[in-house]
Amino acid sequence: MALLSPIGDALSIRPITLDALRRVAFLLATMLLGSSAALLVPLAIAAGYGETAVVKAFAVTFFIAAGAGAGGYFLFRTDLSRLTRREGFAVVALSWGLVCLIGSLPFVFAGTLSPLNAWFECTSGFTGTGSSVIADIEALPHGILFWRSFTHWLGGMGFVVLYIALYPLLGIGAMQLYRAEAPGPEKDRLRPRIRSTARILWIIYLSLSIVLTILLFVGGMGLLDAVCQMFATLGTGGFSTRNDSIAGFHSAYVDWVLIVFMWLASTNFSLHWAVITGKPGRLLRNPEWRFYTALMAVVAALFAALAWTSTDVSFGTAVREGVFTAAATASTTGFALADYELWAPLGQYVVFLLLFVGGCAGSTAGAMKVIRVQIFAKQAWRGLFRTVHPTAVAPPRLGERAVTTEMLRSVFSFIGLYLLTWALFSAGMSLTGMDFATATSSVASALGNVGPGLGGIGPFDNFAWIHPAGKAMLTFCMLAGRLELFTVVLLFSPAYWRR
Amino acid sequence: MKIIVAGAGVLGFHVAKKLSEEGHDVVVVSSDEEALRRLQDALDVGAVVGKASAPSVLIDAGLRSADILVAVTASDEANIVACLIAETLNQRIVRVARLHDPAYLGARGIIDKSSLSIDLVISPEEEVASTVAELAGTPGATDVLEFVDGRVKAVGVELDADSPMIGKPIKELSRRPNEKVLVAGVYRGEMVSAPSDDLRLTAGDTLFLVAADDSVRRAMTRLGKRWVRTRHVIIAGGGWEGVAIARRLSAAGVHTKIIEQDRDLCEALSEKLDDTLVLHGDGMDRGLLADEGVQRVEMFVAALGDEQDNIFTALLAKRLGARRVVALVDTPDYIPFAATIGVDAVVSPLLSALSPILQVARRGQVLAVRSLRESIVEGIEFVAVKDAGIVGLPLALLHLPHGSIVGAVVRGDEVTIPDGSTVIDEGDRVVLFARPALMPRLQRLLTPG
Repeated sequence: MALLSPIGDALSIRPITLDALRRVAFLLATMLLGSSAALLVPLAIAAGYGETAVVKAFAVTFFIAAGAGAGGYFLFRTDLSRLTRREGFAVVALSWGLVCLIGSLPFVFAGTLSPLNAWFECTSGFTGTGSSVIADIEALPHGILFWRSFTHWLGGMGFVVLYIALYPLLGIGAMQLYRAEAPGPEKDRLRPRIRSTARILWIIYLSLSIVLTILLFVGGMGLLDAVCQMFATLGTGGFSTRNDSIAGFHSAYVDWVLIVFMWLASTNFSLHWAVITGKPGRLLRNPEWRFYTALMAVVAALFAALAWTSTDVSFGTAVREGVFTAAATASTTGFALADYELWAPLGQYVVFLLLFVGGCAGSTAGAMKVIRVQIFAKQAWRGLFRTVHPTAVAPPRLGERAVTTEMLRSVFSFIGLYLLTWALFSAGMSLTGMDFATATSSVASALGNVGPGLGGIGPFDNFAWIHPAGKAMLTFCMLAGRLELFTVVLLFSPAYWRR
Repeated sequence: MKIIVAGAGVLGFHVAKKLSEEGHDVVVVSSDEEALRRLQDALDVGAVVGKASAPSVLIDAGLRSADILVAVTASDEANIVACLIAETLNQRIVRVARLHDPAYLGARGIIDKSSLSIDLVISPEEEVASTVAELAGTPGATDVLEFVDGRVKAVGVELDADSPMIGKPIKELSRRPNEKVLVAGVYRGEMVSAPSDDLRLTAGDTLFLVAADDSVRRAMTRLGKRWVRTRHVIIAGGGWEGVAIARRLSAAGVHTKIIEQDRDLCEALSEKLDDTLVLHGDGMDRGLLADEGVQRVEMFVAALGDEQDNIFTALLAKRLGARRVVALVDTPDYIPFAATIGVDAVVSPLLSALSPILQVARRGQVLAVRSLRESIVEGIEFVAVKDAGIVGLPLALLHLPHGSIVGAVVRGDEVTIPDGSTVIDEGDRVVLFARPALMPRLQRLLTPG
């Protein structure tokens, strides 16, 4: 019974900017406050190992983050229910930038890295890239080593998603944030409410984490090593605790376990949920997952053949190296087991292509995502078909579903923007004096959050030698790639700021 | 609770909005993908694309484990089929369907719980008609809500510049205890709910009074409104809504004229409506309105097919001298706008259907949920149960959340407009007003323990 009469609401103009800024500032502050808690874990570990300088570094960072967060929280406290889509993008992009900045402070305070290098390393961690500027990893203090890997895990599923799952006051704003952080062209909902969805995602993530840690620990890895490799695997990151990455563990068992989990982490988490809730059919019928798994199998076979023919290893080792490299690259983890640069040139070319493809949407993997590549290829083929049958009404299909025009448009604009960004920054990297292979692959690898590339940044190389401007560019690419470009690039577009 | 809403139109949107804000898990089903996208932009709800009357689609939406199905698609048939499917797949589910066509509505006993498995049939036309009838029964009011079988009323009144209450505090409204009136809210640019007794009134304020049915008239008079009984009404538009209104009003003894442009429809109307004069012509025709005496009617209702036409026609009738004009408007953004430019009361058919749906979701002791001004303030009616937090203590000691107020307590035949010393007993019927955001907290006071 809504009976209505004189109200001026519809006519009054809402003051947009100040309110919006306040909401953004308040959300950033709460996120900062929440994230600061994460710093206490490496602090405790450093304390356990008696690393006083490192404890200090984390403590100082914690007080900065918690202080700024708490200050902002009380200063900007406001109602979040009106958070708009535009503000959601701003919050996610800015919070990622902020967290990467704050997260780099311990590296600086502990004297491990220069500010620029620390920023690069930390962004590489949170975005799940795994490109490192540190040459002697094994010499790092335990606290720092742990933090470096921990960032992979926090950024993998997304700390914004974690925040949505835990912070109750968000209301409808939760959706705006989720949209801006979650990967893939379609955001699956496991439950009607975003908050419940976010919780389920984190529960799956947490369960996989526990299982992997146990498996690695049982396989003879030390607990800290096991946890750190787990972080890097599930976040599809790639930081290892050994100078020789996974090759440094010399264990076929570890290699195979990681292969399986890299594959799991780069599978759409809503499919994990389907299997858990007793609907494995949805996984087996899923066109993206089928394509992804088939692609990985084909590439694995190719890599195994290349490893066997190009290098002097046994057949068993060649298979393991081939499968591992395929999984590590396709899942955008970027662990190193074999040096694919020693293989026949075809191998390097395929690695280069994989840098663009990435894992499934809705997983922790990076790059363009398989589903987009699939739709792109199908539509390209459709174009050819249409020159023969100009009047055909036959949209490309994915499994049983026809791809909507809306979806096509979003995929095409994403891929276009992705390739443009890649071309632009590759030019920038070349400007710093890099050779062609290194320049193009470093940007592709950073955008796709993979880690290693070709030439000067192969699987066993590190990024310390790159020109400071190059590091800054790659850092930006990692961040933009993790948030699937639009979230970050939007902030730099005039349309975003126009009323 | 898990609730499936079939249909993403205006009503579907508002049902989903209210229910998700109240903490329910809502999934909306619609074949209109674009509408779902817009809906998900604004609401934290799930969405399934597909025909709402298709079993596979409803199963996708979680029908098997859902608690309530609200079928509010544009098609009556689709709504009926959805309810049928729901009953087959999930016996436990509560089924609500909106039906427009009087042909279905007339068939109670066939299309309801006993035979067609619909627990609650909602007819926006009937709701509109009863809203208009309530308005007609309360001259001078912009809004009327009825509680406890009509014995308690919440009435919206806009203060004219010549009202004797201008500049006086609220407490002067009710001087004698047996005529007590409670001001649940004052709308002055924004809503002041549960205002202080000392708040001084100014011209243009809209007061929301809560009073026993028989005190409303006295309160309105004190506010300077003339109580002119509604005897003559002209309705523009002979669609379903117009017919339902005409039927309701003429049954209450009001002289009703209805203007309809379509000749065939006019003939059908004249057969259906015995006591109503059916006029063939354009409801927006100034000459016709003047000829039919619009300047003498106490109420003019614009119920044409188009809401812009309704606003315009209502203003025209007002200009021609109709005492009070009511327009049927559905677009939420138009509703406050129509009010500011001079339409005395706006009735929204779609939003009218909202309250009964919300009632189902809040099942339990809550008997009625009514929204004032599209949910700026909400009134709920409930029976005080044993051991509920609200029972047994003077209201002043209950510490009700700021912005909520107990409007009326009905014990047997006696209606009490409470003050701080009133104590609610078990079995009382209580009417409580609050901002919708407070409702979840208040609901805890209503349940035992």
